[in-house]
Amino acid sequence: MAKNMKLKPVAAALGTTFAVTLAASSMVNAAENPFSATSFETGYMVAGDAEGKCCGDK
Amino acid sequence: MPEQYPVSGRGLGLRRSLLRSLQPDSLGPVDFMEVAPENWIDLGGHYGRRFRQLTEASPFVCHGLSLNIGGPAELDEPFIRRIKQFLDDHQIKCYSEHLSYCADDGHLYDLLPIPFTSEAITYVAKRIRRTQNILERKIAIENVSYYCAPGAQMSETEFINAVLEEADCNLLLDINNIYVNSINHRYDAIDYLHRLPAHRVAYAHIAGHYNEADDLIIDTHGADVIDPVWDLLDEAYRHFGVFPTLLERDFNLPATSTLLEEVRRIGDAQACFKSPPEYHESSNHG
Repeated sequence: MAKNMKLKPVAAALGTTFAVTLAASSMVNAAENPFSATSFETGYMVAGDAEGKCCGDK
Repeated sequence: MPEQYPVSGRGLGLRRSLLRSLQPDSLGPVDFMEVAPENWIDLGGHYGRRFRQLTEASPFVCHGLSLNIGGPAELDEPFIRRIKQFLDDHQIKCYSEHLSYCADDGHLYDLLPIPFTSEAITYVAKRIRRTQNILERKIAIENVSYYCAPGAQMSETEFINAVLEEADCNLLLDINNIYVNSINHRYDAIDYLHRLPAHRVAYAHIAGHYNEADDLIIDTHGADVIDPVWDLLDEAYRHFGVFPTLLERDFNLPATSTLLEEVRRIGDAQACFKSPPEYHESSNHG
């Protein structure tokens, strides 16, 4: 692999995961564990006009 | 059409933005289409009606995003039953998923590599078999692009072959992923291709990618297919015989007419290799 390899997809995955976690945690009562998450009704969330994809974004 | 192929010819991945320009009665070179069921399964209204029109006009296959076949969480069987209903409702010809994992307690919205180990083969194959039992049909599993290979105890092709055999499932052959991985992990793409089982190929994907560096490319589906990937598709047709092939495009979508030109190019390549497959003769092809 490249010496200066940037693991952008992994970084993007972690970023996305963190964003989703934040979005989910905002639904719980602040008095509860702030790190717990609420399940989405349909499990996998596709918001608005956004579509789920199986590729990296650049 | 050989029995193993659920569709034939040239395909295009349907994205919502294409609904404006793709009409059910004028699909041009598109012989079949593909959707991620997660993007369409609960859609009603305008999108739902347009999708129904298209599935009535064209054969469809489904390419799932969230099955999490290699993940640590239990299989989401209620979700698999919803998928089955969706496949039945739209007479979908094939359901495929990624040989990866993408969730535990929650979804990660990215596809991560399963360690290439004997333990993982047994684990994943069992979950594929369970999925096939619920869906009451064989599924196809895609060779994925990956950017690291943690815990690998064997080669990727050994892993894939063993999973396909133990699960008795089909292969969604992603040509661009082979190319992307061959650059990122420094292997010979043609040698990789020749190690895959011809009799399990259900259909193929072709796509463009992004060059991050000379030795790091990212599977974005955001650019035109490049010549080395077309060449690899040619080699696959030469080796396996012609199989149905679908263009994926998710970012930087060009005018639909430009996209359809790439779909036509798949047909041009297929027309060049209509002769019987040579894979049984020799693995040494020029």
